[in-house]
This record gives sequence, structure tokens and C-alpha cells, in this order.
Amino acid sequence: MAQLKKKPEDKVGVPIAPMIDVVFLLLIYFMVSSTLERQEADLSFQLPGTVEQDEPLELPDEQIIEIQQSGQIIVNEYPYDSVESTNLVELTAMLTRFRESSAANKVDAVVVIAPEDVVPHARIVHVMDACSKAGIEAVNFALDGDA
Amino acid sequence: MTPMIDMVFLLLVFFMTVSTIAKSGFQVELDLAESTESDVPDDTSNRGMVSVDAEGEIYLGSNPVTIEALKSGIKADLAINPDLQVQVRADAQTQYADVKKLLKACAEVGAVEVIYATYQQR
Repeated sequence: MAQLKKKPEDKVGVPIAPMIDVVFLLLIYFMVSSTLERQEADLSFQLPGTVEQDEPLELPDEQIIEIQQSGQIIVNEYPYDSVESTNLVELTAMLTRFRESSAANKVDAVVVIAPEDVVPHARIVHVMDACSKAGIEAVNFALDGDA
Repeated sequence: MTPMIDMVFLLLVFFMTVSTIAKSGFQVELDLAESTESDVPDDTSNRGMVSVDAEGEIYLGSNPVTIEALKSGIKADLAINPDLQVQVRADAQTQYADVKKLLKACAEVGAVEVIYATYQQR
């Protein structure tokens, strides 16, 4: 009996090992969650502004890409890609041809994106991606109409 | 053993503070659109940050502003730095009408360099 009484006294003390386990787990959690935060990336373009003109103006080739409320993309009254498509293969192919033909005529290929008012921003970014994939650098937005 | 625990606690506290400081009030939390063609910039100087949330509320930096206040704000920034680029952070669900208002305001005050902030799609 005397021996049994003694046993619990030996083990008194702070349990270090589980604490280290927990602390390491927390440490790894915070390290991972801080690196997982997604970085923001750029898609840049220029708004039409007033520019001084000292050379004769060469009219660039211009294509107007309409985006309907449903997300349907229309160029020259012809629909491109499905509403669900996010990589816009048809539009990219058409824009690539457009850029090549403009280059052959030695004029700039300009694209104007004209979305309807309720089109979500994500859809516009898809179209800008397609322009970028096709190698078109001059992308503009139709700002006319009252906002 | 004790020095290791000290060090681990220190690292833990460091990461906790850094992650909370990085999140707090610096920019509006938005679900940005995904893009396959965007680049993470090396140089983020010369930028003015404007955010538009899904409801169309406009923020200059992290302060909600009216379109008029936004115009005068950008104008003032542009006077200080003529190479100013406007970084537009719009939510993926923001309607074009709201972004258009913003773009018009930028064009009117002469800030023609615009950047859309997106997430890179992998």
C-alpha cells in the first residue's frame, strides 16, 4: 500500500510533449494560411483620353465585342462561344485572325468591349483574357451612354 | 528543451501578428475575378487603389466614397503623380454599370492608365 501511494507523486509536472505538438500544429497552420493567401495580378488597359496629334491620323481597325446580359458574346451580330465557356476558344481564334489581317494591312488592331450594364465583371475579364491571348494590346471600353 | 519552446512560441506569435496585421483594414475584401492572362506585378508604385464591391459601393483605398469624392481624390493624386495608374479592384459579381461609372470618372479627370486586379488562374 505504501508503494501505491507513492506512484502518482512521481509523475507530477507539466506535460511538455503534447504542448509542443499543439504549438507546432498551430505554427504550421499559420505558416500555411499566410502563404496560401492569393496574390493579386494585373490586367492593364488604357482608357480613351485626349492625345495630341502631330502625325496624320491612321485609322485603326476596330472590332466591337458586345457582351449580352446572359454572358453571350457577339461580334458583328455573330455569336461566339457558349455562355458557359470561360476560355472563349472561338473568340480567341477570331481575334487572332483579326490581328493578323490588321498587321498585314499595317494598321493597329483595336478592340472595344461593349458589355451591357448588368454583365458581371468576371465575364469582362474573360473577354480581356481572350484579347490578350490573341495578342491584341489595344483594348478599350465603350463608355458612352449614361451611367 | 526550454529554449526551443521559447523559439517556437516566438515564431507562433510572430505569424499570428503578421497575418492579422496584413488583413486588417488595408484593403476591401473582395472576391476578384479570375484571369489566365494576368501577371503578378514586380513594381506596384504609382498606383491608386479603387475598389468596387458586388453591390456597386466604391472605395478609394479602404474608405467608401461617392463618385464626386472619387474624382477629386484621383485628380489630387494625379496632380502629385502624373504617371498615376488606377488599380481597379472589382468583385467578380460587380455589374458593368458600376465599373463603367468608375472608368468614366477616371477618364474625365485624365487618369487613363487603368489596371484591373484579378486572381491568377492556375
